[in-house]
Amino acid sequence: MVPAAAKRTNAGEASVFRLDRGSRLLLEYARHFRDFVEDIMTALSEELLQSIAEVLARVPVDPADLAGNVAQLGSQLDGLARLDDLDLLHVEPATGVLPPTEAPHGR
Amino acid sequence: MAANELTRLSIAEAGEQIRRRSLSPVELTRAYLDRIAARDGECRCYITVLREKALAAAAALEKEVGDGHYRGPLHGIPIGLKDLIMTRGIRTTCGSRILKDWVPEADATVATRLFKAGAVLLGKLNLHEFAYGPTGVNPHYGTAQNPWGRDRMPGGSSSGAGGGVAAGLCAGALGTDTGGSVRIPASLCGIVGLKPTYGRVSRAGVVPLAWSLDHVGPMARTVADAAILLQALAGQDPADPSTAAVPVPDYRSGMAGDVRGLRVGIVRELFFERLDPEVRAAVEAAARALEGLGVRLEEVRLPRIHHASPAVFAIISAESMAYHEPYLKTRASEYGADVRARLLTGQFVLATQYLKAQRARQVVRAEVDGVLRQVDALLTPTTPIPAPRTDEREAAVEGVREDVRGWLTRCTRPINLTGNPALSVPCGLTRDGLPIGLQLVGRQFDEATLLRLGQAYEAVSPFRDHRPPLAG
Repeated sequence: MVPAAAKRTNAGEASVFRLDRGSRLLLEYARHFRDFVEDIMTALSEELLQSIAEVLARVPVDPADLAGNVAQLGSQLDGLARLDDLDLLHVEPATGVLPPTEAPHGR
Repeated sequence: MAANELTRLSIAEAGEQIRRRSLSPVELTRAYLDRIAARDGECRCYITVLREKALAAAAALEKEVGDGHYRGPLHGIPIGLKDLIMTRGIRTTCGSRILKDWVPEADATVATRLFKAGAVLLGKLNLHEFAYGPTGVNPHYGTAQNPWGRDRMPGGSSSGAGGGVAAGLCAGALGTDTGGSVRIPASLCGIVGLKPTYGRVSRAGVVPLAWSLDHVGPMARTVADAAILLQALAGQDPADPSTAAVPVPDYRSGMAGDVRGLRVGIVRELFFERLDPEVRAAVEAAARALEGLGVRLEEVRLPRIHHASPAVFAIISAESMAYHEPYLKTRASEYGADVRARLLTGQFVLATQYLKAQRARQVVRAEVDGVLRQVDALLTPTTPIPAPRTDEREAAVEGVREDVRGWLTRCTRPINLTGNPALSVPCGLTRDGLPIGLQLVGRQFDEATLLRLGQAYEAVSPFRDHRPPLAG
């Protein structure tokens, strides 16, 4: 078990740092971290996604597709963030599902 | 019997006549093939029609039944398969240009099981490209027609199966369902669609969209027909490790039971929050009809169900991208624009988001399973809106405008996350003459109760005497 204070209550509003210690420094950290996240959110752009695709995923992209990617991803980010509202600390992922044997095809 | 009367017979009716040798499998198959030849140029439900193979199979099955060997209620029944289900020696395009010439060397397990049960394959059915979309719009093979309205979406991704079964171009079909792709076209085309429990029906030999969300399920004109198809499909398969060693009951005999005293839960969260008014009225009327049959209705709560949709987004995006990445690196221009864009979104989902979604899945599933210990089934609409126009990108419901893809999958995709069985049954028509679907969600591996409830409802449904105007 982890200490109750370490449990997140919702969407990152409470954290082990702020609840346990509450120092001004850490509160400042939290504020800056939130600003940092907001910066990332506002920077969800076609250029960012193109860099991820080409540098990290190494998948060539047609720039014409990126506007759709930004819109689709952008519409889901809040919902994905809200998964933190669930108490997942002791939950293992449902990864026990195995895919069936696949036949090679199309190549 | 006239050819168009033959193609109106249910599987149960045709099967009984074949058993009694009052109907010839060749005659029945030819009636369907002639209808396809006459109508499918406009309907576009099929990508590949197998006239010679189907007639040869029907002739062999006719000889068998003449020799006293009757395989069961699918003996000599003409069906279609969604064209991402592998068929040996028959091209399997996945509705794509990339696989337009792919001819598998083996059958999918579900195809093998249907052939063993005596089904005759008429052809391979149209779909949303690689099954990645709920509209059924296909830029490569045309869009299958919804027989309730020429300008209306058939729903997807099993669009050809939905349109084909409704228009009398096959007696039944198999679709696949990753976010609602059996139930959505069933709802929009006014037929019955069953997504079985995850692990009930093999996925081996079915080209995946998202391994942990994909299901294969029957589509038919009646609940009894869906049960006949499920009977042939269900059961563990060594070729698919995700199938479960859970005994398969006799579905049809179980359907005869009374529904009096069964408890059905109504979930207001998500499923009834924003609905087209005619859908709301029809689904609530269906609930009252079940109550009239002795079913006990109870309001139940699923406060975490809103988390299902983003979790499905993360899982389907990451898994589909992982599967398609080799093609996207080398043949991206051969995808249709909408599917390529959706697939590429998957590379921006973080591994941590994917795993968080798979953890959230456990929580949502536990909540649904917990409620299903209090009640025998849940009742929801299948889709919050009737079939949109084919060119419609957004729809407004109760003042909220959203992408039609979001509307169409809102009530179905949570059940792909939890893996529970779900049955869509027609429950009415809008003033514009478009079908409305009722969704019943059951306990894990308890398809039998859904089929019993579905058949009981079907018998009193206001939809039961309606036929699509474009079905001739």
